[in-house]
Amino acid sequence: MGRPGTLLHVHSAFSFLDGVSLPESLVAAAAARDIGTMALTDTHRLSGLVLFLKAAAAAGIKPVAGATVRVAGDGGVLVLLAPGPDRYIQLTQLLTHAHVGHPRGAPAVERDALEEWGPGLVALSGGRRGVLDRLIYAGRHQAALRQAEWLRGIFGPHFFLEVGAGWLPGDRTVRRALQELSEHLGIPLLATPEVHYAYPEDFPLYDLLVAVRHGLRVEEPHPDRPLNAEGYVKSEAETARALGDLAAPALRGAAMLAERLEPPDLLGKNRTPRFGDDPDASFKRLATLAWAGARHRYGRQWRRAEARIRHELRIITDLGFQDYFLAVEDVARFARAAGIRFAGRGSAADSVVAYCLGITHVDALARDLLFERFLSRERAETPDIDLDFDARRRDEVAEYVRQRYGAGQVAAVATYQTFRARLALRQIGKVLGFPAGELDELAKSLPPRPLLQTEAAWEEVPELRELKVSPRAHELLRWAALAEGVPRHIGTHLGGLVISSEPLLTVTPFETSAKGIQLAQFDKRDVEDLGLLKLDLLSLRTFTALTDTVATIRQVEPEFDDDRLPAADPAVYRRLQAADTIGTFQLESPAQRALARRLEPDRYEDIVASLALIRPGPIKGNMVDPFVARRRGEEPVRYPHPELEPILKKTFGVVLFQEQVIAIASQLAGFNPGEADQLRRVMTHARSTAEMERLGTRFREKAIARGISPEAAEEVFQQMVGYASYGFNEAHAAAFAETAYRTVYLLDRYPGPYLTGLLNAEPMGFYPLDVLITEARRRELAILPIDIERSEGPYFYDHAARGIRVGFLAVKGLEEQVAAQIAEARQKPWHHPLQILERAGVRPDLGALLIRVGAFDRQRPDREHLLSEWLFANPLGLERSGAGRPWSLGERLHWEYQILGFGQSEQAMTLFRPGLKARGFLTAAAANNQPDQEPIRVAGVPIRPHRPPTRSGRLIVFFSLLDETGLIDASMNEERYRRFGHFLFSAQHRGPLSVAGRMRRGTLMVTAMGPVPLP
Amino acid sequence: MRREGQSGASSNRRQTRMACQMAWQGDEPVRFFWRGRWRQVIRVQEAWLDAGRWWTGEKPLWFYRVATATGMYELAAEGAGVATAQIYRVYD
Repeated sequence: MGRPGTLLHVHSAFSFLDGVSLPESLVAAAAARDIGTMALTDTHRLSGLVLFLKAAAAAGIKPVAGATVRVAGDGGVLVLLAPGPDRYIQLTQLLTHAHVGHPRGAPAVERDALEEWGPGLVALSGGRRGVLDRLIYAGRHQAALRQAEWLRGIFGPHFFLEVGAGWLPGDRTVRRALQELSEHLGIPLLATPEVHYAYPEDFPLYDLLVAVRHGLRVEEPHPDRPLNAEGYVKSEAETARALGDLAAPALRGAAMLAERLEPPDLLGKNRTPRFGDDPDASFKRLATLAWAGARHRYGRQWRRAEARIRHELRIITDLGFQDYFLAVEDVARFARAAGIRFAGRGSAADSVVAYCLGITHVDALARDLLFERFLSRERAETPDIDLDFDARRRDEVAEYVRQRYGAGQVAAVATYQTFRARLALRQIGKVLGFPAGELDELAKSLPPRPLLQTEAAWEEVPELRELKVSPRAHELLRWAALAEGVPRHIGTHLGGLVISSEPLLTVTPFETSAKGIQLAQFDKRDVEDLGLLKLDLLSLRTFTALTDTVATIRQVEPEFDDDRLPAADPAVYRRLQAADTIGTFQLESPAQRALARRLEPDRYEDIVASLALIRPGPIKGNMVDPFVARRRGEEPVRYPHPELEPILKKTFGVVLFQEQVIAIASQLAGFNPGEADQLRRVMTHARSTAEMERLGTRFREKAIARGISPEAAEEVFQQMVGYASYGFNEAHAAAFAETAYRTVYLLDRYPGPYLTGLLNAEPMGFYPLDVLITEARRRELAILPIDIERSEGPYFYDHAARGIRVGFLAVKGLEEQVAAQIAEARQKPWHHPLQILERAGVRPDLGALLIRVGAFDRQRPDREHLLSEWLFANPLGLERSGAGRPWSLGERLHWEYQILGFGQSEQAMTLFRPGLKARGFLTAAAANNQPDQEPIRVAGVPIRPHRPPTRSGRLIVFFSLLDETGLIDASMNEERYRRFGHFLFSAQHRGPLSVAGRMRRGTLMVTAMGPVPLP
Repeated sequence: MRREGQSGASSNRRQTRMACQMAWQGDEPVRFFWRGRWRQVIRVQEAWLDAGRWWTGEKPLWFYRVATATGMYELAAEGAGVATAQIYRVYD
């Protein structure tokens, strides 16, 4: 006999602020309470369904798909269940109608939509917030009767009067009325508790989240606030106790319904669109394209790749992924034809077929990359091919996909935004009545770690220690910690598009994203379980910058082609060795530049290795120091076993890449590559001693059988265990290295066009605008100020003046259309420059911003006077009294930083320089030339302070200081951080800092720090 | 103070706070002693649980709206079976 209990009105955390537990947690609680049938009925969404179905299957609970909907016109809520797979689509249609037909954030179901799609679904009256109880509680019994008759007309015998077990005031009155309705209309009663969390102890968080939803303080009452902690997963006995006399018939009604409900048929299906009539046809098409591509990529040498391509095609076909590859190839082909810059990233670059199809640009054969890191029979997961596109044109590609497959079969993939520490603190703090200013300071001062850890280590975090907050702040952190990780709202995945061979409504409802895009209700993990094809079409602003850069260069060098750059330009490596790479792709961070100073790269492989080394894994795995020492010849290159030399030669014996772990297991122990990748993945994710021991035994046995000594087998295994979880994907590093090299070359040879391209592609990269502008000046490029007659919308490079002209779009809040109107308005003759703004219809506030940043300086240098003319009417046409005073540099910079975010005239530290110089402070440029251990003092604006993971686990702070000569990188240890960290991380401290310390290998090791007094 | 107005809790009643002795049958009150005499409960009209101001550490209370021969009362108890409760409201 199955479990007797039923739960048919259950909200998970995917009801967003109307539930707190994840489906897995609810299922676990239900299983412990002997529940046999359970429906997930989140509000207006099915987002938790895949997790729910999987958890229920594992727990032996019959899962039912459902949703709670609000009936339009203040009609209360209704719980809808899909009684079986054939009715599921009605649920998705109703939910789509609720979202798409109503304003974002206020979904509702209209009565006529219920009449159209409702018949065949099961409907429950919704409990105390439901369509009937609300009327009954208000004493409107006749209205309740009419409502019940209407719903019975729609749903027929599938409409039930829901009786809850919430122990609320008025329950008995409502129950009596429901019983009368049931007897009068013949509508069955149905007992089910309304669940919003798994366990009673989850209640306070639920109450807080409901208060967040309604913007309430915790003391404020609201009909939706729960009165008690009875919204947990109840056993049948607990439900019966609450229902009194009605328990028997209502529980019987629930049991009878549960008997005939069936789960949706969603998982374990392949919904990939087909490119041929059958899999064979798709395979032939894929093979034809791959062979054609091989001939193009390898020319007459293509047979070198033949065995590898055959091997890959066999695996792709065995796993049934031929249509997936064809779909990605189709997108790549479109982008190429449309001239949209793109590249495949990630482990897809391990595939020679992907290279031959033009999906990736890394020759996996030449690099000897292992396909099985990407795809193998043993892994049998849907492969993940990420494509980066020029950010400005990525939506064109998405639109092509929509046209290609039909709008009903394509949607954006959802993401579930969860409460992060800061958001949880702000929102829960507001409910608990903390002042907004205090919350803001507290939130900005939070270190990047879980709130409970922060609360426990409060006194050790200087920026928190310095804060003057109420003693209740500790309590707030503890409450907010409960919300951390709970789904908060739905978002749009940055690049994910889901495509289905059948209408997507058979799987998911649609919503409309903030950008107006059709959005599925499932995230990337869910869509894989649903067998849908997911394309990752990502936006890469670096590609936008590159496209712009090339266009600028072609203005003077029409033949320039960045696909034909010299393969090993010495200037590129000189720049890398000098760590002069701010603005380049992936090589600009202080950590990368510090590595470059030590590594002294002089070949392409050094770039690939650098991109892999500066990652949390290799840093924690202690790979950086041995790699650098061996690369520099300061330490002998050793191999764990002589047979491994061919595999580890390129990384000097260090197991840096994930592909190497796979190759070692294959080479030494005879694992096939797919098995070896499984081994790597288990090593990465599983850390139990027993599991490791099992793996070790298997590895040793196989290695010894192949003639390896037991000692050597053990040593190699231990090294693999040590490295496996820290290694980086070589294919990904190689794919990024290609773009990185390109950007270093362009920065070196064409700094003006390249930096202009970067400025137009902002926000991107590691550094703010002021750093890039300072870099441009450092390279002796002029910053040509915004000019009402000369500027365009974007920045542009003036070849003749060797300068970057600031564009109108640099002004915060000024949009493209306004910039275009200004450009058009100035074509006609004018008597007074303000006529341009008037003709262009520029808003007064935007016009004032343009005047304040000097857009009219060439025509009317008196900004004060011009502002008066612009902002104040002068019907008498009077002349202004007295001559205008030119603005000081300080005044100009004040407005420039406010309006543009950078110093257009000068970098801000110029103002402080005379005083700093007199007190012996060095500029960043001078400091960077100081010998090691020299004590120095510098001052500048702190840039990107951060506390990355370190090998030792100790805390180290990295940051840079910006002044008018550029950046100086700095770091400080834990002890200094405790003394001075608040200057960098606390919201209370703003403005430039003076820093004392000693230089070591290009980095300032901080000994003291303090604010710089205003000049 | 309970959180009036939540989940439909009514609030326009005269409130009082006096202790009374209780007698129970199962989970429900059957009589209570107030102003010198026992009052027989004719019917428990409503029973509900109120979490109170949990954020201040307040304990939850069970409420019973009961009809007696002399009128309607709301009794508040920390749980069924307790010896003492409070007369929370008296209905005019």
